[in-house]
Amino acid sequence: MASQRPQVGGFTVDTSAPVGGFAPAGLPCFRAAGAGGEPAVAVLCRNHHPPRLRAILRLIDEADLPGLLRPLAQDVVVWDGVAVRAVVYEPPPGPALMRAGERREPMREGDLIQNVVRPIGKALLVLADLGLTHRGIRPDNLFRHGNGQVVLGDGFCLPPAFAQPAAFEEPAAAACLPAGRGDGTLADDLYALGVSLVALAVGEWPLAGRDDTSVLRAKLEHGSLIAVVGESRLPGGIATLVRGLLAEDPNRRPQPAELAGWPGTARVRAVSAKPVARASRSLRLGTVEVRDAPGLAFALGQHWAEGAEALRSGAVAVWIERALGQPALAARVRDLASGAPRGGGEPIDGMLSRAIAAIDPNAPLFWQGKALMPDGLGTVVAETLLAPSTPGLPRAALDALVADLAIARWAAVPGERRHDGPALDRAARRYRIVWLGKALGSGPERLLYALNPALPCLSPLVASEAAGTIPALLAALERRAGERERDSLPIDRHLAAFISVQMDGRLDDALASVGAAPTAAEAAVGAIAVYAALQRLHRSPPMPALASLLGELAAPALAQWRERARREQAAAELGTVAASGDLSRLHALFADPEARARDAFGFAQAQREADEAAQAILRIRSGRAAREAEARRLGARAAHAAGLLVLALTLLSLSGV
Amino acid sequence: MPASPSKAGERATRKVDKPRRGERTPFGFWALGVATGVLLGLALPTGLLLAIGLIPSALAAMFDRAPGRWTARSVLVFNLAGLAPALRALWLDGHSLSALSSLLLRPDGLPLAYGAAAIGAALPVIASWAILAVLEARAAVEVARLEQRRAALRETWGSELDAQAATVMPNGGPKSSS
Repeated sequence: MASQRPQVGGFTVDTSAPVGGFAPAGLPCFRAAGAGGEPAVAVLCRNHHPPRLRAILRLIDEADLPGLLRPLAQDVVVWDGVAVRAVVYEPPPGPALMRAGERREPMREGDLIQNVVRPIGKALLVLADLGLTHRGIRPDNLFRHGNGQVVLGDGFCLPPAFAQPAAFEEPAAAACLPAGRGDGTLADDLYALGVSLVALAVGEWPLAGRDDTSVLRAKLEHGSLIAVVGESRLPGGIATLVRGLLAEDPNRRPQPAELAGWPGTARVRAVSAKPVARASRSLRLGTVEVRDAPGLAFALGQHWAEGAEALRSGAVAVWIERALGQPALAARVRDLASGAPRGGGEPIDGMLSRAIAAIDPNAPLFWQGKALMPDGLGTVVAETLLAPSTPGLPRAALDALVADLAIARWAAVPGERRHDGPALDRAARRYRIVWLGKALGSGPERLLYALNPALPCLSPLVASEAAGTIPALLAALERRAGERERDSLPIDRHLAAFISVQMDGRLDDALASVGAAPTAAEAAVGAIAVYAALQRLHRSPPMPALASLLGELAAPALAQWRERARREQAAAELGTVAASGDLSRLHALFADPEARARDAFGFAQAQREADEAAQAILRIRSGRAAREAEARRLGARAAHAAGLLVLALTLLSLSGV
Repeated sequence: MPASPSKAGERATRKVDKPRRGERTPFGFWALGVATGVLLGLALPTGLLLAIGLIPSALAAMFDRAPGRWTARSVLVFNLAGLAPALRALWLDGHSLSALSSLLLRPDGLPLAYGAAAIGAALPVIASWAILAVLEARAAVEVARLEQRRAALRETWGSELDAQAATVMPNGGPKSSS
């Protein structure tokens, strides 16, 4: 790939010059240069872990981004034969403060506050003003030049918090699939900043060497502050700040404006949270002993089969009532469990998911042993549908999650959550309709593109083409049309879904008609209608190759013109019009609505006329007997009249007149 | 003596039951008989000439059972036209039986009357042939025009028109009807 030099928004990416230590989770990162030679770094994203395009576009447009590495451009490029989105950043000012798992000399309190807390506070302030979260605050993503202020690196080239170790996430997010943590809130960034400060102040990666499950359990059992800080000693000012940032109640965490001027702008607030009720005796679920409601919720979610059995048997409700002393919660859990049948299947999953939500309203949505935040569904869908290896959430589980309205039912469980329940309910119902849709332009592919706007079109028909927008897609189709087999339609479910999402559903009917066409020729006419609309709406240049391919495929549909002259004229013009690349004209050859109506009307009229003529011929041919009778009748009358005339003339002549 | 009510009722019933033609036919027959009798009584030669000369008309009236009996009428008027010269000659030659007998042997007598009656009998047939020929010609022209129109429509709209429109099979029967 050394010869590849993709262009991204005016920057040339030098793929022979990789940059290490900038992009997380193994994303390819290379040096790039602008038109004037200004240095930059380009990150090539993965389709199955799509970047946060909305945030990137907002930040590119933002003039002033203190404390944040600025994204300069983004576009879709082809890398290793696959279209992926690339993001160009300004180069980091220096190395990262601390590599993952690295031990370093602890930073001094003044340095931390002056060069870490304040600039990141400013960066979070800007992000909060833009309605964005970063979800990538950790020591290896903080860059500084010499002893200057740090800048926050990339947090947008992967799904939110995808690259965050469990130690840097709140328990609810840490329990989630990496791809399913969702955008989260500012509180999540503040929490990650708190853990980062601990790491920098101690000089050691917090909870290093422990797996995510044990980190999560430690946080649940001991609280975040104790689990993260452990036995380490923090400088006094930092300890106060970290205690606030790691408060279990997000509302008690210092705000970015306070951090930007810390400690002068710090507000006094009680950092002690309401203690979690502990049970008098533990409950064993699988290998875990739980002693409180959050611990129970996470244990149920992670030990799905045992949790379902314990819930159904009533053991959980009894424990909540007697050991935890919460009879109201126990009654609710009993109600939820009472409707579930014995054995496996969806009702068990739904029951357990809602029971967990009832036990701990802060818990994420658990589903078949996996967890995700509702706003992380899009990236989970991308991972499940596109990941080359085993995804976090299997396809069958994802099918059930969407089809069974798990998100809506989870959101409907009473309890204080940061999510908008009615909005989630509406969204879940919409997702279900789309997911189960069989029409072309619907189905899982549609949801994939709808929830992941950063994805380029992944249709095999435009493989190795950077089709991130409709004009780019049309250009790619035009390039590939000449290479395609002449007997296959240049539209598939991925293309249709991509078009449908990009056009906000305005072409749904046209796309569905392509899929529902009874013949290949009619499907080709439908495809011409779709591409003609796209060409017209986006004022795309002529597409003679695509028009030629579609014209060939649709040619049999010319027989639908009833008028022979029109049919022959259309057939004669087909080649010329296709060569012009004007798909609207090509479509008019097949299905101009007004001409079609005239044609149908004329045919019906001709049919009626021919029918009447046939009937008249039949009448005439079968009417000989009647004509003979009429001839006889008229002949006799004529003879009589002639006789009268002869008689009159005879009498006249005899009378001598 | 007045008829009893029962006999009057029977007559009324017979009147109702008898067909009108049957009622008129005896009247016409008797009227013809009376007229013939009067004619023979007052002008015997003329009556005999008419009786002999109109035999074709009487035969035609007997055999023509068609409504209106137009052939019989045609025979009658031609028969009369052919007999008129003989009548004139009879009246001019003294209106006697001898004149009648000599007249009957003349070629402008009975042969003329019978020949005219023959023309009167043949003319309806000949005229109907001629009229039928005209009617058939008109029908053929109309069929040709309609076939031409159908061919033009087929030319414009293709053979699908025949597939869906009612068409005529070669033997003239309907093939299908949309």
